[in-house]
Amino acid sequence: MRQRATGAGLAFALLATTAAAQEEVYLKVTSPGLQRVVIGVAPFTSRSAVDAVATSQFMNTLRTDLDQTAVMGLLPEENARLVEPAPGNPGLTRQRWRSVGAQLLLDGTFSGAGNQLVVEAQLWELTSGEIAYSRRFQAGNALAATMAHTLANEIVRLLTGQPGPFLSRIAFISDRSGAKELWLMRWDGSDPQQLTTHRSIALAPAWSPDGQWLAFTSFLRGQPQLFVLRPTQGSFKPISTLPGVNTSASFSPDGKQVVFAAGDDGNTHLWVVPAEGGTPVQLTTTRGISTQPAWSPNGRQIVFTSTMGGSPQLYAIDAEGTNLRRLTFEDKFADEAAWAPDGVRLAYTTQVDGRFQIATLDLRTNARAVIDGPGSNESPCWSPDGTTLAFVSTRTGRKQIFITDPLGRPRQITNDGNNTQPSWVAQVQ
Amino acid sequence: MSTAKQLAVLTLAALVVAGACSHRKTLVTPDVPTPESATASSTAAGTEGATTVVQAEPAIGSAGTPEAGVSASDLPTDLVELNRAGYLKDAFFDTNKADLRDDTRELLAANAAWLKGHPTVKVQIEGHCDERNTGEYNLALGWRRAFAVKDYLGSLGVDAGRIGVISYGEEKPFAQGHDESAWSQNRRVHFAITGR
Amino acid sequence: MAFRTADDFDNLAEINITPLVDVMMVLLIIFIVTAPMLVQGLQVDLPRASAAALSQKGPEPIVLTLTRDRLILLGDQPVHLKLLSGKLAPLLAGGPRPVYLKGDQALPYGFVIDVLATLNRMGVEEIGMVTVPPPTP
Repeated sequence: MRQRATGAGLAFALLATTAAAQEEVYLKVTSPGLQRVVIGVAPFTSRSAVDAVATSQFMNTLRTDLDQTAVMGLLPEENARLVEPAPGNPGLTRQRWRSVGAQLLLDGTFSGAGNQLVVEAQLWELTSGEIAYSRRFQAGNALAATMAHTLANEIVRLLTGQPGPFLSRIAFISDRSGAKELWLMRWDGSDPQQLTTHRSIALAPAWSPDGQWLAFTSFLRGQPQLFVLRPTQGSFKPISTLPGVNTSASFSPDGKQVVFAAGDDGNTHLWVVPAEGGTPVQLTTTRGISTQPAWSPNGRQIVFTSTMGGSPQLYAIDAEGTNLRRLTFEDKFADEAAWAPDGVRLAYTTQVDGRFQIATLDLRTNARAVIDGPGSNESPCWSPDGTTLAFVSTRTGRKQIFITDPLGRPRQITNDGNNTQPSWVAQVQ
Repeated sequence: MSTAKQLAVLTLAALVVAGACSHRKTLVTPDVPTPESATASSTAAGTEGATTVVQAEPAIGSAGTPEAGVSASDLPTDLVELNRAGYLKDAFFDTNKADLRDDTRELLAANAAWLKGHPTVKVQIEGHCDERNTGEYNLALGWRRAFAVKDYLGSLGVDAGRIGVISYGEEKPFAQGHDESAWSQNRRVHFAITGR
Repeated sequence: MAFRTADDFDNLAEINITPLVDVMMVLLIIFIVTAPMLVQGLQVDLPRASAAALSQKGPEPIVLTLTRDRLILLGDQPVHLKLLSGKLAPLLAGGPRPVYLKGDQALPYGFVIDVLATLNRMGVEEIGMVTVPPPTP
């Protein structure tokens, strides 16, 4: 219940911000009057001989992560330097952290055993002087960064009810190798990995909600076909070879079904196929183009793009194929709908003055907000916690993927080649 | 003392992130676990508890070969030459349209005549688009264009069994520019001869 | 030195001759007040001295508590000495206000001077040294 209430609070703050902002503001989580919680990180002490490379990697990763979200900021280093530890008086030491501006303090110890690193971490709420969180982590030295990401995720969860993004990954399409291939990177753009080397055309990656499967379209066998791929195993298989485009896959929230677009004639319709493969069932029959389906988080409805009324607009249909209704009326063009995890907001691509722009639509209030940005902006994709968006922009020249930084400003996370069609998942399984 | 009050208010504002009052409660009463942390084997505050064994993130492999047999088809070189000769002309379209223009119909009638004169030739009709829609929408638009051409050829008596259809959307532009002259070049249906 | 005198000022007259202090060139009135009517912050062991009760007139004073551990508290928020001026600036933006120091009697003299110097740099002109009355015999 607590999380539900929080989500609603975030939604209101977010809409108020985007609607009111004159300049470009991308889905700021914090409204203007609120500040990020300031967290200090005390140097962790070593109880026994530990791998210095691992511990330094842990601390560096942790410090970086803790400054990367909208809810919390790392105490500036010049303030942290003012803190003189009081030997034998940890309570006084914590008050000294507080006196330089820290509201939370993370301290802890390292110990080692063989090639294992044990981290015991405590988070102090400095106003009350109480421990807010305490956890012991153990892993091989090589996993020091993963341990730090895990700890940082837990701290974000403590503040927001949702785990942080630090283990999340973004699948995307890049032509940096010369052909459009499927790639994967960390949420901040680091650690890019090429998943396909087909030298064909790969398109439209979409994660299963559990992070196990990645659906995508490939021209590998000539015609575009829909495949699912298990990134941890490197294997993939076709799940639709229907005539037509076989693209725009979106998993049902239980991961068991995939809705996608394909044709049986010149029209393009929505189809549903078991994620394991099977016989596709046609969901829509309207003339023209119906594509870009997005399965709602509660599984009950599917939002998609259709030209059934002329220009491309967003429509919704129940997952059983009934109760068709139009959602967008103010746009000349509306496409690429993406559900926020709260199941209330949509982000989508609209057109303003001949350029693509990202817009949001609140389905409870029908409040629509266009987020004006330089260049052409398209393919919005929510972060798994729903606090921010990834999107594609041409503002720096070629098509690049951006996310919002902690202050709500767009931050470019790709550079090589053209990078498009992001799909963000909490963790690859 | 208003000073003290002011400070207290500032501190409170900073702690209450995005209006989530309950979070602050979580902070100061850590012995009440959130539903998630309960399932995530969180230890109660200040107690020595269970250890979280951090697992490696799974290794990511490159998708080398698919489970089912997949092979790209190779075209013989004489077909490449046949295509280069340009017996079949490409058809062009208006922005965001899949309707056949009158000039397009004339051109397609010539193509149909050539095909009927060479009854063993098989063709693939490729639908293409300019870049001014989203990629996946364009794929569907290219499909419509290709199908519109196929249907028209059929109406002129060309056997549908000789005609394959594919859409490349905006993925294989003929002109690389970002202006109307490039876009008009890219809104086309291209004929590729796939068998003689 | 154009000190205006306050009650019991003589007790602190030697501040005037510490080397600190160009800062002392500025008007600085130091007086001793008794504690009872001030809000309670952290417990500090205040020096004992007989002094006049506080006047309720004039701008509202800012209270700084200085603990035996050399923490400076503004209200109940600890503030590092180096960050003190930044925290005080907005409080003084509306015009001069007196600052009352609730200093622990065991504090090193040098630390108290550091605080006074900072206050003086901030343009504070009235500083009250808070005491508790001596035990009645």
